[in-house]
Amino acid sequence: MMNLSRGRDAILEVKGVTKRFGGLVALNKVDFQVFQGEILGLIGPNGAGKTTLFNVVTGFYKPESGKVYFKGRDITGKLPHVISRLGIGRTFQVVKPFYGLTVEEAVKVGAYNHVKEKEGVGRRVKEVLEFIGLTPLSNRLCKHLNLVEIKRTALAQALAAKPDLLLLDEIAAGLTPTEINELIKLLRKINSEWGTTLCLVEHVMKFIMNISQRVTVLHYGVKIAEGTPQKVARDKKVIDAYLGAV
Amino acid sequence: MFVSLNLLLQNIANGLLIGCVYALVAMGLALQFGVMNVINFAHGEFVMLAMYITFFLSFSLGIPGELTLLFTFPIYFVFGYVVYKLVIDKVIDAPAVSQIGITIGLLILLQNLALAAWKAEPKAVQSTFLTGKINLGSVVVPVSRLVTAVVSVVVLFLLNWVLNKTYFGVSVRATSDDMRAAALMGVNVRRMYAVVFGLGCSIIAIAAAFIMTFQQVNPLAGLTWGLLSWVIVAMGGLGGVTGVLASGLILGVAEGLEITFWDPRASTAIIYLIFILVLWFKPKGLFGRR
Amino acid sequence: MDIDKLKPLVVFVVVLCFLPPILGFNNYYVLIVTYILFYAVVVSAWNIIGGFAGQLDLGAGAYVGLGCYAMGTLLIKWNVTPWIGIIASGIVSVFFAAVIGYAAFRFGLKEVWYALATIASVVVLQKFFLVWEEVGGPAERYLPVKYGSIYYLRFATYTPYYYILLALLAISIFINIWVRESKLGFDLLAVRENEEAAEMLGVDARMSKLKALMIYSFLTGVAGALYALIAGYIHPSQFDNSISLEVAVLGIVGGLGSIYSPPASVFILHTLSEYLRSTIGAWIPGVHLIFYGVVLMVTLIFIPEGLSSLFKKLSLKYKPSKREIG
Repeated sequence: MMNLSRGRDAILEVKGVTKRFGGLVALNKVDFQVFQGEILGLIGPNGAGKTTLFNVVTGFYKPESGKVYFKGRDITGKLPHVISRLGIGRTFQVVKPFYGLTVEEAVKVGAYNHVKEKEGVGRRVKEVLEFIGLTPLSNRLCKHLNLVEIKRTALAQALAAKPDLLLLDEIAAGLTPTEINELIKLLRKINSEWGTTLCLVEHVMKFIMNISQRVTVLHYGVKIAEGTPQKVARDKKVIDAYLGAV
Repeated sequence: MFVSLNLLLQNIANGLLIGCVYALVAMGLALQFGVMNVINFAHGEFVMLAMYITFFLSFSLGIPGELTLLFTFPIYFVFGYVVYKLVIDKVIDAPAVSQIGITIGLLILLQNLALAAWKAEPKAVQSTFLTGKINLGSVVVPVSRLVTAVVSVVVLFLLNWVLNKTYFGVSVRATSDDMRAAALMGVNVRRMYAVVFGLGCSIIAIAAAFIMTFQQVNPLAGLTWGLLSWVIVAMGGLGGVTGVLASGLILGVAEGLEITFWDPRASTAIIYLIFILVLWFKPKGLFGRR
Repeated sequence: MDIDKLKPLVVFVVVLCFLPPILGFNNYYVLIVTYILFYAVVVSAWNIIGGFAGQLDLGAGAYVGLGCYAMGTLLIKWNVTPWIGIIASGIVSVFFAAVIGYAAFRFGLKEVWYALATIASVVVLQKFFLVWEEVGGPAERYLPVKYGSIYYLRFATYTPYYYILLALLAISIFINIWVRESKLGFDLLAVRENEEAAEMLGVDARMSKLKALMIYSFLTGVAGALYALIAGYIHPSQFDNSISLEVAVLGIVGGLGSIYSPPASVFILHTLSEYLRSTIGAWIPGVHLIFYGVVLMVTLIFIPEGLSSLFKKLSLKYKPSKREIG
């Protein structure tokens, strides 16, 4: 095991999870940990099971076998909204914004379900909008946003729910290099200032290698490598998997 | 409750025969929804209207009901094509609610146009080649129903062949698998949708021409046909022609059993009961679209 | 709640209070506007499940029918005053809706399947009451003829029903405003736009939809009881799927999720359709429904957001708005 993982608590622990769709094995006895406070990259060629893993963790799929523990608590098979309330946030691969709502209202949905008192909701919304830099857009309808703004809104919505662990599914897809640099700065700020643990699924290698402190590689539903970005990039199995997939 | 074995067998036989027709009617919808993902809430009204056109042509031209097919088959293809282009195409990329909504509008329109044109009294075709009865032991089978069932099964398998073996069928299925790829391969996706919609309607026309040899039609008949077809599609629509046929037969027999053992007035209720059971036992997610 | 949000409601109701006097208490015209109010109530209630939650519910006919039978049976069999019967109607409808809704949402029925399941429930109930001889049966069951009695809530004119339904409409719109401002409203809108994303923000999608369905079915059941009082009898035909369709049409044409447009649209469209029926309905039966079908299709093609977007444009012309409205 890597040095940087030793002695830290796993906030999320996936143990021996198997998920099948008919005859297709999407995840095969996957073990996977996210440690408190880290930024973890989850990579793998197309069809490697990354999004499936996210769906199992967040309760959209029930695994055939295996367990998911969040902060030491068994959350296998719990409903998504319950998992969300326990402190896992997520953005989706295909971001479908709340078109009919304004940015502020969309962020409010997340805040409403996690902040008890009514005044707290407004405060939380304001705080998050300010932090993400969306305050000028707060009264704009989501259907009038561009891609960058949509992604920022999705991030703001998830953050309003005060997650301890945030799963980001291809958040950099479709962005220009400049926009990606902005995003990296923002994500680092979320990680360092709010202490949110981040787990990113990504195709954009430059992005993932730049931001991640640790990388896990999935290939056809099996974990094939794990470690620092530098180590993983040199791993023979990883190189084969990517070249084989081309 | 005592039920004679004869009656039971008779009702099961009727159920099997009508089940084939149910399958054919549902196949039109299975093509449109199962293959092309187009929601047509007015499917039953299309059936009802086809039955009226059969009646109208048979009456005004003085020809047997089943012969009107020569006209209704092409008419209904064009009808479906035009309805698709004028109405459904406008909301094909809109949320499902808009597609359901616009076809509900179509449903109300067709139902009341039929009411305006033919009034509320049921209409029946006066002449047909398919008369007489066949005795199979104690079970009596009207020729009209038997021929209708046979035609239904033949058309179903013909369609199966078209979808699986012809160039047209393969491009239809390719379009349904991946619209963008099909478009890149030179398939005109929008026209393909319209053609398949038209084809689905033509199948309805075949069914309607034969149904009219033994049934009447009234403006409200569409609702039952529509629900019936959706139930069949829910049961087996994505499993191809055999799935549709099997589901149709199950519904027909279930209805026959209901008539034998309970109240004939509640015979449509059994279809809804099956609908609820199907929704219950099919795993979550199979029914959500997109 | 923000008092400012209630101002339009007060204006709306006060204006409608003067309608019967304007019509000279003519019984025929009052009956027409009473029916309009009935639809306005149901459409306004439907907005909570159809507009806010985005579930295309076609069960209105079932809740209206249950409302008729709950109130009617209590009155005919046990002489229970409709004042209690009306509330009982709402409760019976909620109970039925909760059973249907729990199953539907538990098994993830959406879109066309939800619409079908709800319209099927109307037909099943109609058949059921047709066969159930003790309560239903094929013959009409008449309510006691006790005109002018407060206990029996039966009147020789339709004006009292008009005001009762107007009060119910005010309640329904008030509930719309309240839901829209509450956490439930935000949850429902999020579920409508993207159910998975909503769940990931902690929204209990099933529960929110069920709550919306229960509010809507209660109001519709109560309206159904009044429907039976106006008709003076109960009959299985009151489980009417054309009510379901009409309500959905008016709700969509009015504009999903907007609070005043759907009931306002009922007034406009119903008046037009009633005019058509009284003028050329004799030659073309069902002409008013043909009109509905065409209006629905045209609306969805040309103004997908419904009449509310037209109303909004009109009001913006006269009053510059500070923010975009969702």
